[in-house]
Amino acid sequence: MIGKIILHEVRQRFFHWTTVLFFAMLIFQGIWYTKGNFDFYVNEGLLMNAAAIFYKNLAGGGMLMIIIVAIITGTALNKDLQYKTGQWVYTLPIHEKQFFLGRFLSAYAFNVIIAFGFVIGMLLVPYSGIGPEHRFGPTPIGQLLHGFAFLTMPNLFLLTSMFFFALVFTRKMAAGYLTILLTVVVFLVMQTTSESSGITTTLSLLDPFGYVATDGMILSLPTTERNTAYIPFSGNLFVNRLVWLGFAVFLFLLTYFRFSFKRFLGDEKKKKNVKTTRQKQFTVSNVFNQKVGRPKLSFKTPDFLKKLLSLAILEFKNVVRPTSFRVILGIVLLMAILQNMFWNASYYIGPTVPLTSTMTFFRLSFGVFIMILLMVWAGELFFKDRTVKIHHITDTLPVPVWVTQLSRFFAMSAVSFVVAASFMVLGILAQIIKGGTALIELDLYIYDILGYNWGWLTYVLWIGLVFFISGLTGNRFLTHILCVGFFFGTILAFELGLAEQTRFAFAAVPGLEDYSEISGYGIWSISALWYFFMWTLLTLSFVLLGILFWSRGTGMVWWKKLGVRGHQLGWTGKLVALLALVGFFVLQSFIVKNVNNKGNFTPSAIEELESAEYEKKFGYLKSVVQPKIVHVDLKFDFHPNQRKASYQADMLLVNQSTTPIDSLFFNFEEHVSVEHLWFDGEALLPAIKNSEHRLYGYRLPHQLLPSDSLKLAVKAVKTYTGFTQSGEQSQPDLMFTGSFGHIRQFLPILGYDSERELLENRKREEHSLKKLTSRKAEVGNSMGLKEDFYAPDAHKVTGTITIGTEKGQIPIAPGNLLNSWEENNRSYRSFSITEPQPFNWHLASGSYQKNSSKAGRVQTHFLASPKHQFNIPIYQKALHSTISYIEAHMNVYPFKAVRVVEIPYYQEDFYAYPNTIAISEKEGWYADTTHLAEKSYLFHSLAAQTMRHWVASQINMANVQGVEMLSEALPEALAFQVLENEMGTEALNHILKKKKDFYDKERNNESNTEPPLLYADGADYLEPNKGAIALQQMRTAIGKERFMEILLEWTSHNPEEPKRFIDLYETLIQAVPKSEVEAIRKVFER
Amino acid sequence: MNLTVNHLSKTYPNGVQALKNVSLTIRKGMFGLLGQNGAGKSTLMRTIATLQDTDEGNIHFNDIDVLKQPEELRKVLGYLPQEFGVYPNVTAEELLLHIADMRGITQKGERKEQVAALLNKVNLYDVRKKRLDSYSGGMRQRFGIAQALLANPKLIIVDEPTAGLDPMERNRFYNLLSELGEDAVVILSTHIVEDVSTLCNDMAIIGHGEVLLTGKPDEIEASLNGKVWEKAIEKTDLQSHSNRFKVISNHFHMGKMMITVVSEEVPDGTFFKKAPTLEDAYFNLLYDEQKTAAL
Repeated sequence: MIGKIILHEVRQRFFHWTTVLFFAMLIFQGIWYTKGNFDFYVNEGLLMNAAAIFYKNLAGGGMLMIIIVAIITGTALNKDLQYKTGQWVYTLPIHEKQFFLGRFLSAYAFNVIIAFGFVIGMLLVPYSGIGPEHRFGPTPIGQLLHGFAFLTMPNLFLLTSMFFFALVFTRKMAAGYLTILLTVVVFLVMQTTSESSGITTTLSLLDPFGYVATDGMILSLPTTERNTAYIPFSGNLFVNRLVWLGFAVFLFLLTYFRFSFKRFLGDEKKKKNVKTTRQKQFTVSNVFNQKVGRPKLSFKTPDFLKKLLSLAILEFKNVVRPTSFRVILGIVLLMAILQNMFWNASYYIGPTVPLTSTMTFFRLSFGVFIMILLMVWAGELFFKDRTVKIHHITDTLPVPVWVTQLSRFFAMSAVSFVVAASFMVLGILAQIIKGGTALIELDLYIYDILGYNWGWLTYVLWIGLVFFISGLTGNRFLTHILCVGFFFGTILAFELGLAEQTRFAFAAVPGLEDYSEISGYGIWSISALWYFFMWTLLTLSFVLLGILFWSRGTGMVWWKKLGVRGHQLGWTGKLVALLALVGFFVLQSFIVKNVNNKGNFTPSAIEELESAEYEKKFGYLKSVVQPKIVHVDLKFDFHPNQRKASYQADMLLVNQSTTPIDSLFFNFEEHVSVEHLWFDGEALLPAIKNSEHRLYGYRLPHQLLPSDSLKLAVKAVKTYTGFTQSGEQSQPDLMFTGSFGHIRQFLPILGYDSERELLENRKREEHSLKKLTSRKAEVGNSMGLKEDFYAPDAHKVTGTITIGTEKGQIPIAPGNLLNSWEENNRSYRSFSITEPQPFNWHLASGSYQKNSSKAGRVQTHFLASPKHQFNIPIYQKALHSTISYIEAHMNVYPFKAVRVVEIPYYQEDFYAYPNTIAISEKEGWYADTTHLAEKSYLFHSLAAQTMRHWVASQINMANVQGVEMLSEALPEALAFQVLENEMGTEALNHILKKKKDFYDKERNNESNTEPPLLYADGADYLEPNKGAIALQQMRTAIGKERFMEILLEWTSHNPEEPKRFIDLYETLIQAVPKSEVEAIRKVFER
Repeated sequence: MNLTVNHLSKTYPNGVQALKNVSLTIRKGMFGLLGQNGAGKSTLMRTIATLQDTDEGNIHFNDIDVLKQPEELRKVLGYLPQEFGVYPNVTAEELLLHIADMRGITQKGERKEQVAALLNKVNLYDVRKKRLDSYSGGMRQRFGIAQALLANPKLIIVDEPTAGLDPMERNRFYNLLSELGEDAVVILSTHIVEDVSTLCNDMAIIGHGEVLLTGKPDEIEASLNGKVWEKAIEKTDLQSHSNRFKVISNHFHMGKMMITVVSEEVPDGTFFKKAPTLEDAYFNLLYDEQKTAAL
């Protein structure tokens, strides 16, 4: 019997046109996902049809597949209710359990058959044209089937079981869809939060599809294994599969035992119906006696407005009244409080103090889930009448559609307000409980949670979209599918890089995740306002069109609704809808002008193209000798409120080569407008002028002979106009507050700018550029040996800086502070650098609170946000201890005064340049340092930067392979000693473990080929982590004192000569005990 | 006060032509619309009730152009659809009060008064506080009747209204409709001939989307005066009789098959003359329709 049922069901479905469509869609998804996951991994050796990519595809399942599964599974059992066939089918001589099994297995079998389209898609990838031939290896069929068996099939079983469970227990299709939806949302939440959560193991177990565990497993594989290996079903992945398969079986058994024909048809429920008790007998006469009065009817606009309000209140109550709403809201709020109490957003180091921004972050981490919930609720409300089939009555009532439907729109807006406001209340509550009452920022709560920054107003915009789709389709399920599909489609398009511009993401505004405790939302608050206006106009149009398209009575095909003659919206409404739509496009154009045309955003493909073209066109400049900057006198004025800086630099250039120089080449940053460029007081016309690449070449009137010098004066203005759209192009050098920029973001770079090159080999190949064997010049490269690591076009420089900013902000520049004053409502400071220092200057302006103290002869200053004074004592201790250690064991600390500045997090985490250390706000200023792990991280990070001061002043680093082992790894390793001395071995072990974990995780995302430490070429994950650990290993092998002796001796030998790490290494290795040499060499050389 | 339907046609996207050039004039009082299942009655009802568009034609109720001014018609319309649902968490009284408000009864007191009176009329007053999802099929139908009568509509359309009602309630409903028909246009769509013959002073028969016949029930009955004959036969003889005579219907009585035949003269001596009924007229029409279709 079971076999017959399965055969019948499968046969019935198999030859349906939708099957072909679904299968084709999944083939497409197989190709599409492969491309997306391939792009996710940047490694050059990864094949497009790598086994790892297929495993990841299969674990993710994909939206299309899940939607298709929901559709297939949904009808399997429900059709007997929907078409009322159960009334007779269930009377046939079939055993009800066998019937259930037959329907379940047929649905599951069909899901598996359809899902095979996904596999076919992956098999077709090499022939799909999505990549060049050499990107494909032999198809890993075994691995594909292995993944299908262990990932897809159990996941399909889980989804089928869940759907059947929900359907059998509630007899409602909506419950089945909701269950699938919730499962997908749980999966998405796990997927999107696992990386930054710090509880990856837990999340990998909670992920229903095993995606997080699979991803974790893949991350631990080197590229060659990613291409071909069968991923081992062990560890988290094994437990995950076991847990979820067990859960699926459990649900299946519960459903199996629950199912009965009677129950499923709802006989039990019928028993609860009200039995009309014997009612009084009406006679014809008493019926006639009860005359129904003639009421006064009114259909005036004020009456409709009153109705709109009263209906909105009624509908609001209808949504919030059911227990299901309260249960779901309760779960969401529980998640909110748990996150805010026990896990709040942190950046690398761990928990933070209860800042308001960490409390409002909940709206983002659970944003997908909340939005879908609201969209589904909205869809259900808009179709409420049709769902219960009362629309043939309500649609004939003399109330305009705008009253009934708008009331529901307002009701849903109110419901979403309740949801958002609950987050706000819970956030405040969590802050109070965690002792952060003083940190409550109501304005930020309102902006984030009630505003358009993925807060309440964003919810309203999405509800508006649902309203429009409801009107257009007139179909509840189609509305859900289209809205949720569009929502996920948008997310995926941005995640996969298919879309980059925020103006294409409905209801999104720039700066969602870019809040800085120092700078706030900065320019994004202006930008976001324009985007919000734009989306509001579109939504207004959507809502009005939703009213126009909403068809009463029997549904109308959607294209017939597109006419403008509909009765449901007056001509005024139609005109407003049109004007709103026009306004939307006008604002789109306004945004394009301000964001794209003004150079505030460039799509990555164009950026890559520009980089490739720069290298192709101007690569010859690599061998053109240019003079070196040796002295700079700078007058610099920040105008933060205008995001502008005006400045004049007088630079002394010296030809340090042995060949005469007749031309100078300058690379300017975008947004820089040069007013004057004088060469020894003379203005010249450029011989080469390439504004696209901002490169200008000047032929000097007289050759610059070896050792000759030239005075170059630059007067320029840098201004950002318009506004930007994403955190990747945050323009941090000129912000309203918290500006922080490298000197080269203002002054030109001489010669060839290697920073503009494409460094990922895969990208280079795409642009027909030669693959890099190393991102640095080889250790013996003559040009590299002559270049300073910090600034290839400069030697160590001296200089003076006069810097000003608006009153209320403190201007900060490198060097010793000479003077500070106020003038014309502006603050000024002057600095001098008398001893030559690397030209890695940075300039800053911000609102800071200053804490000063002394470490021996060195004056120390901490400049941090007045709100972030929590950990200054730890930082002070780290700085003072390190300076003392340097002065005691390593000659002298190079500066008489040092400033430690808190900067926004938009750039790198740490900077060390003359007299100054800058630390990103997220690297500890507001960390919760209750535990040793966080304390030691803060201590070590500042100690390492202080050591960088020493290293930079003591070693002239040649710009060749291994240089970051000197600039990054060595200071980190030297700081270990200070940390151990001050905080003990346990603290040191915390840091060593953190570094090891970081390296293990990130090395597999290497875009090219990981070099040996000896030839390290500037990979973030490598030198400060593996490099520092390796040096520590070497130091332990040699002995701390002996290591230091060798280092000091090496640095003091020919101090002016550019030094290479390989030479230090060869010196140190001599001192390593023979028994350990092989092990050490292995670490550094392989 | 009258409703005129002119040349109404409607074809569904699947190709089914539900209405073919339908024209009717319906005056104050009860109007019966009789037709088989799938004849197009509900399509016509829905169209008049502003729930469905047409391909051609127009409908006017007094000076209201129904297709162009649906919102105007809704102000005077009471509609009971063939099938309808109810909100699950709401009581009958709550929903009726809500519908009364939507129907334009803005005064709270009047709303309450109307709702109470109608609940009494449909015999639901005692269970007015019960949730509608706990109502039986018959109770729901009575609720549907009550909502259709709210705000004293001038045009009342009831589509298969007696489905699910017991004989007592059916009688009560007929009485109510008759009362309402005194100053409103009431269209009763049904396939039960008796409903029309009992209640309506005017009627139309619709089949395959076309109006087959219009007139007063008694006139339609009278058109067969002296032409209707009846005979008791064996069941096995039905085919031979059908071949020889115009057998418009058959039914069993006391275990014998009774056939009804239409003939200008007595078919043979075994037949008895029968007083024609509306049902005979209806079956005669259907018989002619089928014959025409077969040709």
